[in-house]
Amino acid sequence: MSEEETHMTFEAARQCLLQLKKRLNAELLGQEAVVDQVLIALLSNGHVLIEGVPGLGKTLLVRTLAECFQGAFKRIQFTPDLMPADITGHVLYDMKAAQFRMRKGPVFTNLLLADEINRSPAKTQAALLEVMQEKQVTLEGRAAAIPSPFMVLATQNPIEQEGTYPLPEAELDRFLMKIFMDYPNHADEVALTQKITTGHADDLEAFSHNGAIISAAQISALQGLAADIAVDAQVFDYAVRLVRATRDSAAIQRGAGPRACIGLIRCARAQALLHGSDFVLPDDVKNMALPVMRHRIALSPEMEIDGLNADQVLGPLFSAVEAPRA
Amino acid sequence: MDLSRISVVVRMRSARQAIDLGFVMACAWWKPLFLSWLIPSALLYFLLTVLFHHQSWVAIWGVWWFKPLLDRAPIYIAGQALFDVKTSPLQCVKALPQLYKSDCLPWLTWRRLSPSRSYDLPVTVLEKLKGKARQSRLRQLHRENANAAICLTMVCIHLEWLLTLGAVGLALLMIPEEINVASQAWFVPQEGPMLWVQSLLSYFAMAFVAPFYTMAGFALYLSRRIDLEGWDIEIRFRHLAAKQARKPAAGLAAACLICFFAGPSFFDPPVWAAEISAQNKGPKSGSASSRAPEYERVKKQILEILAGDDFHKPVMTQGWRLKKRDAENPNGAALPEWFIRFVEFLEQNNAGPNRIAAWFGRGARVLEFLMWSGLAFLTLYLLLRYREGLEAFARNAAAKKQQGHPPNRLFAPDVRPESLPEDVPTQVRRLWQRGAARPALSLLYRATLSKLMHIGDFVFHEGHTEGECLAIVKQSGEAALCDYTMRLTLLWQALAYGHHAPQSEAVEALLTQWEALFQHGQ
Repeated sequence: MSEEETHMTFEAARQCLLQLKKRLNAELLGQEAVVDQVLIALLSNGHVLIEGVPGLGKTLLVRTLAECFQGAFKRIQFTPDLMPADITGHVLYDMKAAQFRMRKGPVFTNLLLADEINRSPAKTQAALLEVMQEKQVTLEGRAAAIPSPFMVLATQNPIEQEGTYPLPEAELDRFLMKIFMDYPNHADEVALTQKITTGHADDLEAFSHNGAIISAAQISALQGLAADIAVDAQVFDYAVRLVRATRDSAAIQRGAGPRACIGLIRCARAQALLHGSDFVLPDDVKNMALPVMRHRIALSPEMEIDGLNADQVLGPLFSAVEAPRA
Repeated sequence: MDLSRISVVVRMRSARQAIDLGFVMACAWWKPLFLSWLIPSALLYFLLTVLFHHQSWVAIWGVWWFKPLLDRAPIYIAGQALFDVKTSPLQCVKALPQLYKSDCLPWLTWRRLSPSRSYDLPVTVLEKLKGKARQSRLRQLHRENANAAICLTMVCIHLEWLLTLGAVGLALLMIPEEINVASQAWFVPQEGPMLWVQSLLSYFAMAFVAPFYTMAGFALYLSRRIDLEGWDIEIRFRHLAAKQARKPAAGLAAACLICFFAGPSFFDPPVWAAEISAQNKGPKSGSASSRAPEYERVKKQILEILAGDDFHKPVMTQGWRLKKRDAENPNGAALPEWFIRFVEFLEQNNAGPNRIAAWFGRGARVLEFLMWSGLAFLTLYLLLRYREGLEAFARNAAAKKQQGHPPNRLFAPDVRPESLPEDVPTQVRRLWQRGAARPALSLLYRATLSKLMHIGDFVFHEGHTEGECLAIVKQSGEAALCDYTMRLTLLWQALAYGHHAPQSEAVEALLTQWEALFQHGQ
């Protein structure tokens, strides 16, 4: 690993991120906000839960992101009969070598796509708890480290409810952000349709395979750089006040915890870096508040009955929080 | 007929109550009734059995056919017993020929299958009516209780059959199982002694049912006569006459009433029946015409007594009722009674105008106190009752007021125009030259926001960040204002959150542009 890779200048980081954004947006048309948020999660060393109807390019986004840097990419299709060992791996006895040998599961990778994560029962989902938080897997009492950077991108379908298992709170809290993936607008959908159907018999052929543009070490360097983005004390205070506002509202049964404060500042830093700024603005915090906190709260039964979702409750709540006073 | 000696309670009864009374009478006088029916019928049964001993059905059929005659003796005995007259067997035997002879042929021929026999027989046996008089009487009687009498006949027919079959069934139950008996031959015998056994059982069933049947019909007849002739009223008058016997006038009236009502006898047809009979028979009868002057005299006496003081005792009643104003005040212009009393009260108490005013004043003060107290209590109650809604309303009103008027403080600094120096650029330059970069730029940003809110009518909330304020200004489309606000916001954000001090030239340029935008614009 070269010195240039481990210590990246701010300008170099900005250029690198611009290339990354450009590449991703070129492949995934009409999802700029989602691309930004996924990159923010990557820079924040966090995991994302992507919720969207099928066919919006969730898998394509993860696959393209993995191709953008020289890292490993694994995919797990969560099914009702998936076992925890199918994710983490297991230890087996090698008859030839006359010793136990660890068979690593798909979590030993840089980017892990947990497709339709809510189709597996809670015990299988819980297999990700340790690896998401500790970046390690314990097998037969021995902890095995996961390669860095490590990022879990889980997807779930918001429509289907039958045969699905809602993610437990502990699991949800380990996702740095919950990203809503919506339909692209008309112009982007036209371009997307034209790109995929013209001259390509298979959908996958339509996507370019231009190779990596960033290394895993550079990703780690970018993460380090994001962690050094300046944050004023008032911005810290603002972030905490936003999180605490969720605990005082009658519309919310369970507010966000301290991990939300940490995640919010990390994301705000990453967004500042992504925008080419070396300091965090209150706007960065406010922009990241919804994706960071929408999955960490539980609405009160009255709000559920009224058919309101977390965004509809949190939006007015955040608007009422006083912005930082300089 | 002496109604005072009647042995049943004389009152109006429904048909079912009357039948019930008949059954009670049958139980009470069971022995004479049963024997009076059994002995003649037994003789007849024996005679027919002897005469037609090869045909067992003739005996039972003969008894059944002669039922209209056999039922007469019980009715006769009951008619006597009703008024506490005991009938000896000898008397009964002596009366039988007369009883059987009366209207014998019709009852054994075309009236034999009459379903209301028990109800109609007393007319023949007790009233001895025949022909049209009897028909008129029956029409009168049949207006009530006829259906009940028919139902009674149907029930009793079935009861006779049930008793007969029940007796056969009981006998079969008594036979041990080891003995094979053709049960069907017992119930429907074709030949042999079983025919006689069944005939005998049928006869006893008829004998058992007959007293009940005849007494129930007689009770229906009795009830109908009480209803028609007012026996219960007559008994009341008798009691009244006994009480008023000491007073000559009242005693006379009571005596007249008794005469009026007690004229007919139980065993004679009633008055109206006699009148009908007289009309039918012509001048031979003449009982009604002979009684007419007596009735006129009695009627006259009754009217005289009713017009006397005994029936016109004045009674004084007191109570409140509405006055008939129109009758009292035909002109309708008279003063109301209460007002007259009020004026009289004032006159009696020598109340002059001053006293009246003082009196009204005291009342008004009390009334005022009560009203104010009530208002205070009502206000307090409403405040407590709707405190949550009022708090919400106050919050909304404050929020609306905030929307309508620019906030005084935004992002901590005071943005009211009066809180800002008159010459903002000069003050900013002075601070900048002193090295107080943050206060200088803060003042400039605060003054800019103040101008935007109070002059440009932009609405900023406390929750708006600097970036959101800039976005609001950009929505206005004013290029110069947007450009200036953007440059100032970026400088301010870099200083406030990035701690990057701006260049002096940039600050000076902003000040110069501020003067052009806001000071000259004023």
